Amino acid sequence: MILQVQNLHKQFGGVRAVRGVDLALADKQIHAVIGPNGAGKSTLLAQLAGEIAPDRGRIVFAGRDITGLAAHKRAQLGLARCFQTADVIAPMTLLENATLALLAAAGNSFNCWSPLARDADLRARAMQLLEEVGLAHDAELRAGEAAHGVRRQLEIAMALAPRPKLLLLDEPMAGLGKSESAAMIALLKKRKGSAAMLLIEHDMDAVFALADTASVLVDGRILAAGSTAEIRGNAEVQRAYLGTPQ
Amino acid sequence: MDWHLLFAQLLNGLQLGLLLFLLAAGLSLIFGIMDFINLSHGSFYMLGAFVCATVAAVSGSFFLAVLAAAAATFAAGALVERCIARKLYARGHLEQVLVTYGLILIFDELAHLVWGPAGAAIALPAALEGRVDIGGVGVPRYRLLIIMCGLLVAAGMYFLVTRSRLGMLIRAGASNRAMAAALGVNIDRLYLLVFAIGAALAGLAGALIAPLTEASIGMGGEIIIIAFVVVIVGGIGSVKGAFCAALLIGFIDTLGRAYLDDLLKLFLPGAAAETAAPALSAMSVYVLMACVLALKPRGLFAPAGAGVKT
Repeated sequence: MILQVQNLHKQFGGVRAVRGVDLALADKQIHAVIGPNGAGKSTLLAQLAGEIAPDRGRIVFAGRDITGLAAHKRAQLGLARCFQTADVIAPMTLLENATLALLAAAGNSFNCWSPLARDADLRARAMQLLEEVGLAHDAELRAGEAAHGVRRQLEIAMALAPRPKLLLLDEPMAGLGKSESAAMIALLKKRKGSAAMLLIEHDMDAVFALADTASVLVDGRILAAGSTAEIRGNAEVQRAYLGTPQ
Repeated sequence: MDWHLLFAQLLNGLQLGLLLFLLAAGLSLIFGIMDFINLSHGSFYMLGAFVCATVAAVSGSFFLAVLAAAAATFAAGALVERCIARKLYARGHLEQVLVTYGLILIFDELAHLVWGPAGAAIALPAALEGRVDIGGVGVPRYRLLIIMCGLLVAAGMYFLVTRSRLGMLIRAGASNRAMAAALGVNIDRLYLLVFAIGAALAGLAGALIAPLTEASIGMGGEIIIIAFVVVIVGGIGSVKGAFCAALLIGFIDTLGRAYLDDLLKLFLPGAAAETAAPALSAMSVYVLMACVLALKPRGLFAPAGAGVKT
């Protein structure tokens, strides 16, 4: 198991966003967490990434209890995450963003006051990172000026830069057009097998195309968990979330 | 017109501008990256001046004294960040202003306790005294040294922020804190380093000015307002903006004091011009700020992405 979550709780004021969530994710598997808006999916992800401290519960990543660990330390252990809003560093070019991801992943960057331009190896690796997601031709484009789909792909490339063991994805399909979604699914499929992924997604086509297993989160609780086929056939899940087929 | 006088005034303006840049560069980075208003930034300037005076008196080496001032203010900056500033990043600007104003009082009182009420003067080493002849104008050697130091630091800062690995992390942290952390950047350590570097630059400015004005209690509070004007005019968070605005304000302030009365005499009676000129020249940098804010509300060189931070 790459990730085990036990009895995770988080309350904001009177709102109990996450109440007693258990999750288990095997190596190199993709697990989808689905559920209606406000079910606590993003809060759950933020707790896994270390941005929000849980009130109760335990998170074990690659055999290590990381419940109290800071976000950047989790990242250095091999836990990468993407944000719902396609977060990239807007004033930097795509290549600079990729370079940044490699630098941050190296972890010891504070010893390096050395100029970036002279580091040909770093540049080559950043370029390769962009090539892997098909963005090499836009390397000198400012990320802030890039299309939403491009920023999404860049973000995935950056998250994959340190070769993480687990990638947390917060709605990677959100805001993408049909062809962009297809490209994103293809990109993630290609990466399946190199990293486990925890996928929060509303796009059921993407979930069923990518995920091995899935959990349904409703009102901060896991309503059902199992293989994607089981989830698809679960009558309770149908009622609570998937709705009747149109 | 006396061209020699104009040349001398331009050099004075350059020197003032570069000193303001040393103060404003750190202030602007701290404001831009941590969204933290640090009124006590001027206290590092004062601390630098006093440490420089003491070390110069004890060791006899001015060079060593300047280094010691930068090192001491680097450490003081790190301490203030760890113990006080860090707890205020998430708070509102009003709370930051209140606490850092309190810090000014504390630093002033500490300086009073350690160095006494009188200022501390620094004797320049013989090698830095005297004048160098440039185009028929005798320019004080020491002023040239300040100008050289300021230009060197400006070049160094520009390199650090735009070309170095650390600078890339600083820019990333300024643009998107959560994402930088998710990528594995230690934001706490980054903030500590930016704060301490900013404090050391202010300390360096204090150390460099001390032989001209002597170290005195309250010198930090006097300079901090004009340093903030530089930050606002240049664009919060922009080192390039701080550099251009500092030079602009250095020149305007110096030339205003020197020439405004002559200028006013062209269309005002002599007595009225002589009364109005000092008042107007004292106002000139604020008039500049008002104009810049009216035309470019985010300053001359506001970095992209700033101001939309969540």
